[in-house]
Amino acid sequence: MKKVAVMMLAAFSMAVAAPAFAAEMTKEQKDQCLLASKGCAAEVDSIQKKIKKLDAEIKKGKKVYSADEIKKLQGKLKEAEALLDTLLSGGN
Amino acid sequence: MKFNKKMVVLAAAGALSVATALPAMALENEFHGSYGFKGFLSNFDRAGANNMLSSATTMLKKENQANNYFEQRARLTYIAKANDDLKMVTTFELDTRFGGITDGKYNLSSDAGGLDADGINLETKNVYIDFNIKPVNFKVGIQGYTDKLKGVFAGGADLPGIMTTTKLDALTLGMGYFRFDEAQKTGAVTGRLGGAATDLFALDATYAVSKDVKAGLSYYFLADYKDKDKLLHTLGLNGEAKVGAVTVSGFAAIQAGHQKNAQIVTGTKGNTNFHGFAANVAAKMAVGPGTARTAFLYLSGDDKKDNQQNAWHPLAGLTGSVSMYNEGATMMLVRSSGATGMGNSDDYVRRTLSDVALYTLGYNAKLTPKAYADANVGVAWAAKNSAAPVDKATTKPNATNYIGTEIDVETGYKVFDNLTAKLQLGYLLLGGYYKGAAAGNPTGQAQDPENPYTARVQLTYAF
Repeated sequence: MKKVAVMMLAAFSMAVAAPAFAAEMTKEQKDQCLLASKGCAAEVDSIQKKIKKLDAEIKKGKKVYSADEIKKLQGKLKEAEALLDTLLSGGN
Repeated sequence: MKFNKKMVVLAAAGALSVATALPAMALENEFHGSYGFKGFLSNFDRAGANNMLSSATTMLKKENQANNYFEQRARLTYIAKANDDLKMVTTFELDTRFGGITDGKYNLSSDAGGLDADGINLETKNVYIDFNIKPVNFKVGIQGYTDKLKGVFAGGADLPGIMTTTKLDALTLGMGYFRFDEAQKTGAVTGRLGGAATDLFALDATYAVSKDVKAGLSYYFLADYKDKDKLLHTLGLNGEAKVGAVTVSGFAAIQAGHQKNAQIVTGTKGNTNFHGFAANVAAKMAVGPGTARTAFLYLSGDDKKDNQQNAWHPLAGLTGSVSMYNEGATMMLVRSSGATGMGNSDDYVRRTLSDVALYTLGYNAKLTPKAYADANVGVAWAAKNSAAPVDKATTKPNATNYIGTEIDVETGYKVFDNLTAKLQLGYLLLGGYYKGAAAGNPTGQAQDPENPYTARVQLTYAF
């Protein structure tokens, strides 16, 4: 019983810890986040990247998404494009 | 055995708390923004917000020295998204002219354009919540609103209110209420709040007849009880259809209403009645490596002979402007968002969208994935020549309506995915409307004002 518990605990801790290990650089690897602002942990999408990603997902079509889901993605694309328009619009 | 049971209960409780806590914790923070830098060399643009060539102070002389200046505008947007059906959107704006501004809204500080910067210049653009109670979308707060008349009544206007959008199959129904002026705003007036306010009620119904054909009906009611009771109804029809490679769109709108105890003709009594009219038709199609486009806009004017106001009345009135006509894309003739771009300079012959007929013809070419070039010609007439400048030779207002012809070119290059460098050049050949009307000349010494021109370099970054 104890043995099983210990094994489960070990498996659980590894599963949780694994992503953290993966993010760390080995001694031989370059830190691309510090060096080139690429692949940083807290990286988020720019509005243009978001538009591109939404566009790409919509193009996958009904093989991947249901009709409702495509409609939802299209709504989000429209929203992102409207936001970009607002950000770049002239006027007051 | 007893111990094990406790463990099971604890584990279950723990799992449950994690499961229930997760959705509440999932808040998506989105940051976006934009930055625009503009450099000007122009005898026309002067970092203001004027209806140019309309008065002695905005009229050009026979010979003018060019203004040269630089300005920047940044916008910062933060969106707090609780889930797909609820978010808060905030947008702030920071404007600066190099050299600084210390008057107007900056009179307690500056716009940070001076030595050592230190200006107080953070402006609120939008603050609202956006949520869905299906099938209705609600936007509550200070938000952007553009009418379905291509913005000639209210275009890119930011105003506080409540907007609802309901989607029922092919029908999209927008209903909004906005309050954007109030007699009590300075605190100097005593009375009840809301008793003398300016409100806008908006109704936009759009019906998708098919995938390629849309038709819409709009009704806007401006109830302005702030100064003198002004009630203005605007009723419009709009449509868009894709026929083969060509997209055709247009609208027509009429206005009716009155303003109590207000007169156009001095020395008369009574009310002013409104009878504005606006119409537009536009077409665009893909040709070669780009898009060819053409459009015609008519916004009625007034003869100023009686108290019937026949001029098209935009939301901000007959001198202000929260209206845009983007189809034209003119840099100097009629206010357009695309030509204005990211900046504070906002000078146009028709900054207030009224009293003009404008025909435009243009081509937007995509030269490479990174480079583009646009060319545009615009010809404008005053709808009525009652406000025509005076010819100093005859001392009478010019009899022609022809304002002029504008030629614009713009080219841009994407330095990065989200940074674009642009060059805009515009030249306006003034028509007979301005004959002999050069500023600074005494009566009898008539000269034509110099033709306006503008050259702008721009850097635009959006993220």
